[in-house]
Amino acid sequence: MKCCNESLIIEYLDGELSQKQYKRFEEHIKNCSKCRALLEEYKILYDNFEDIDLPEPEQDFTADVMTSLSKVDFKKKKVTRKVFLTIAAVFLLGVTAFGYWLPLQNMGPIWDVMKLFSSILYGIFESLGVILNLVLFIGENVLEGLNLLTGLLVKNSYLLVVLSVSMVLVEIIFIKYICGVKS
Amino acid sequence: MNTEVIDEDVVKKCLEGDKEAFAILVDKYKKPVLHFIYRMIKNKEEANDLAQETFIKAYENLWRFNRDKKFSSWMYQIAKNLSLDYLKKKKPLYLEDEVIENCRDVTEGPEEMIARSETKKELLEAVEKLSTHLKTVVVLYHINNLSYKEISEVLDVPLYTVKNQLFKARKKLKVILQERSDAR
Repeated sequence: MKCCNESLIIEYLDGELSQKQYKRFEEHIKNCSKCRALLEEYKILYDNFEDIDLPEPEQDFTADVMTSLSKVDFKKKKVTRKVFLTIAAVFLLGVTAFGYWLPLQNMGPIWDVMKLFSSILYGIFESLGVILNLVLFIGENVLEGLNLLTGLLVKNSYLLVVLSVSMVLVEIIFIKYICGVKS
Repeated sequence: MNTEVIDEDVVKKCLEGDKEAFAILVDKYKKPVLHFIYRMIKNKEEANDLAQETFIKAYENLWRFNRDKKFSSWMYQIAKNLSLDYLKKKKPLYLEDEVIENCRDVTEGPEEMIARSETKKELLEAVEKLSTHLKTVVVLYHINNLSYKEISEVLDVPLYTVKNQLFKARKKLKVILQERSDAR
């Protein structure tokens, strides 16, 4: 056993040693005055954390909290969040599809500029999408966000597909007919 | 009986619209939450206000609570965030005088009691000298008696980080106390 290993002493005091390690450590300190002294120093530290004066909550603590609680409609909040996440997901899917689709079209030389513009726009939207994702999922709680997203995709997959397809169709119609471009 | 099952049931009731059920959770956690905040910010009145704010915030955000986690850990998480925000705004910190009265060992003589109180006072002052991160783990472990695992849940860090931070904190505390006793 490495002598005077402080982390071992701390793990001993925290009760984190295995039974085998515990026995070996107890045997060791019987014969090692240096480790014993170090253990005593830490014991004093631990002991002094006991019985520390701590305040009691005020008598009306619970009543005060309860009167301060505003009425929260939890169901509405959950639905709002789901709708918001769905819109965000659809927006990202739509932009991604648009960004992939547009540069593939053969629209003549004038559209080279448009292609360039669209790739810049695509880049910006992608970055915005990433930021939006970060704010939504990492900013709050990564795991919770991922859980929600997975649940959302499973539960609302049909909605996502329908909305994404409609978004792409609207984009195609816009480019082909409103801008008067033939692909 | 598993207390976390009860917490979960209460949370469920609250989410279903039973606002009054939240009082059960307030009663259950008001003491540990207040103790944690008090040791973090060292001001009794402000600690009481912040503890109440912790519960209000918890209720308003109950719909975000991930029921795979322990409710107590989530409460400590909110309390920690509020305490850290308070400390950021309130610098420099004016330390309250520590009144250490409750020495349970009645077999101690008056001199021993004074010496013990003195060491406690020094220890608490030493805790104040730790960085906020180290202070948080020390308070959660030694004041709130949370396990390594519970602390890792509250702070959202791996278990080895908790172990490492606690080790660093105690080593620093020991050195500070040693220096003080040498100076006497």
